[in-house]
Amino acid sequence: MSEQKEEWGSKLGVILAVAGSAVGLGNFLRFPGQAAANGGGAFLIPYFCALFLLGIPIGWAEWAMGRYGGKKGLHSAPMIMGTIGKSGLARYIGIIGVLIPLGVSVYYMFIETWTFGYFLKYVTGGIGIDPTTSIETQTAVANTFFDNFTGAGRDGSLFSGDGLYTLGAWVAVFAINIYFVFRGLSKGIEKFVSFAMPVMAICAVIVLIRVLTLGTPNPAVPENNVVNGLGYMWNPNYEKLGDFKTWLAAASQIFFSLSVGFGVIINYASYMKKKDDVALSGLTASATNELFEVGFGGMITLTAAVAFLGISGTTVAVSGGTFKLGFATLPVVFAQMGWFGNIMGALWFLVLWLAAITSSLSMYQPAVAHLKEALAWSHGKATAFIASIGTVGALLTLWYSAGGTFLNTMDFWVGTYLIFLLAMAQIIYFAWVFGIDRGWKEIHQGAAIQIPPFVKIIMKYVAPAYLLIVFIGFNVQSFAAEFKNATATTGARVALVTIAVLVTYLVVVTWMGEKRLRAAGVDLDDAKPATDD
Amino acid sequence: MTTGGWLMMGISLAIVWVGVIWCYKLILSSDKEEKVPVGFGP
Repeated sequence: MSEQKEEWGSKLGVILAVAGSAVGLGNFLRFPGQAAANGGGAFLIPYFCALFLLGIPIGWAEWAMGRYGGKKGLHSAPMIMGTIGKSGLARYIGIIGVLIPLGVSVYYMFIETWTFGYFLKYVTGGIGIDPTTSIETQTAVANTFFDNFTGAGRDGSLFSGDGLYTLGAWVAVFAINIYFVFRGLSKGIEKFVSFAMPVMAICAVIVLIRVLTLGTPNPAVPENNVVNGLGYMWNPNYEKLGDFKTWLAAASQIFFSLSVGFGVIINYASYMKKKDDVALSGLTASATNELFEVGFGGMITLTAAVAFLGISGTTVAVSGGTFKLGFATLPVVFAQMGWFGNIMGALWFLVLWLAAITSSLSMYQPAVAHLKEALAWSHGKATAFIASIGTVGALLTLWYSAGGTFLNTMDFWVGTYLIFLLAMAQIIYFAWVFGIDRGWKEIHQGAAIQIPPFVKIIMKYVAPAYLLIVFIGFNVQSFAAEFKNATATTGARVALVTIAVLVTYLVVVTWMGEKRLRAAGVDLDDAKPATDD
Repeated sequence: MTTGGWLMMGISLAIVWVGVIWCYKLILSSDKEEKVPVGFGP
């Protein structure tokens, strides 16, 4: 089907690649903010319930679907979904599994550029915060730097003056991504994540140790200390457990953090060997993600902020959103650390950059695989074509930078709404069309662990019902308002047009691919189930 | 930091650290089994 059969080099390689795809900025910045706002330590109760009852089971289904597709020589989400769902409708819904990673990549690499640019700034002396001035002044300097760096003030500002630094950083980030995707699955992505994941863990441990040994940085303000910082994150407010929103927030955090329904796992798993384990692999990738989220994200970000800025300052920072917390508040925290501040800043943004690039590397792969499969293109030709699409999308993100209108619209519709839709379709097709008994057998083929039987019930009833309720609830309550927002500004409207163009492109390529594969005698409707021999 | 805070933090960290160590221990041991050179197996 393709020029050369692609495969993962090792079992650990695919696990680290999936874990790398899942670990992102949300683990370090979004999770602690969500926890603090939704009951602190009590938030972890619905959080772990959602992990075990929703995230891990749906992940297992996606891993099993991907490997099953691989057995039939299929690697793209549309063709695999068509086989699992035994219909053209499932095949065209599967397009979302290519649209999400490709659509998210166009803005995600811009955010990755911030982490890379900040890392370079800290390596070369910091972002210009003077620690002898008042905290308010320092915060204003950090905010101004962030706004200028991201072009938040004016559309097109990143294409002239100081904005060219950001543009240059984006070119570097984009080139690094394309280089590793071009190198292929085993020699490129697997090799990079096998190096990057351990480095990220080591840097995170160093940052964690430094944060936990901060003590009381300013003896004149004894309440600003590490223990109170931990308390800000972890002290439980059990009353919040009675609020439905807390359970919803916890489930959403788990869902988006694990990258289920993103279109990457199904593609990555399709390159596994027929009898490779997916049960333990899926669990290990999830466990890795949780270590970075709870073990590092939950211990570093807010603890450091409270130790230097106090509880009121941190509360203001958290309410400013994920990006302000990471890129404007923490630089002020680093400025208070004396000579170690720049080292700490460099390490922190290196961790964020590695978290971002191990995610972004996974985003082109599904689209490249789709082209190779549908049109029988070479890996190089497919990568070059997808890189061209990525460049156009990224230039739009960079141009419509004021207020992040393009970015936010893409993030909501592609990076949030469609993820729910795809995950819902995947679990319904897996449990109800492919069949839960057959699916259960498929998950346990070559499995290193036995999954408890009650998970079968979760996969068939609980997970689809939960996703259906949330999806219908959202559409009834917020669809109209969100769509109105998406048509309010030029950047947002351009984002909607971009999504429409990408959908058209993917429908056409899928249609051509279906025609070509059927002519070649490939069983796209699962008329003859794949065997393990 | 309240007792409840220490408790929630301790339990959560224990879940993620024990979970990740258990998973990687199993993965690495099954990897080792697969790499037994030809001729040394049963």
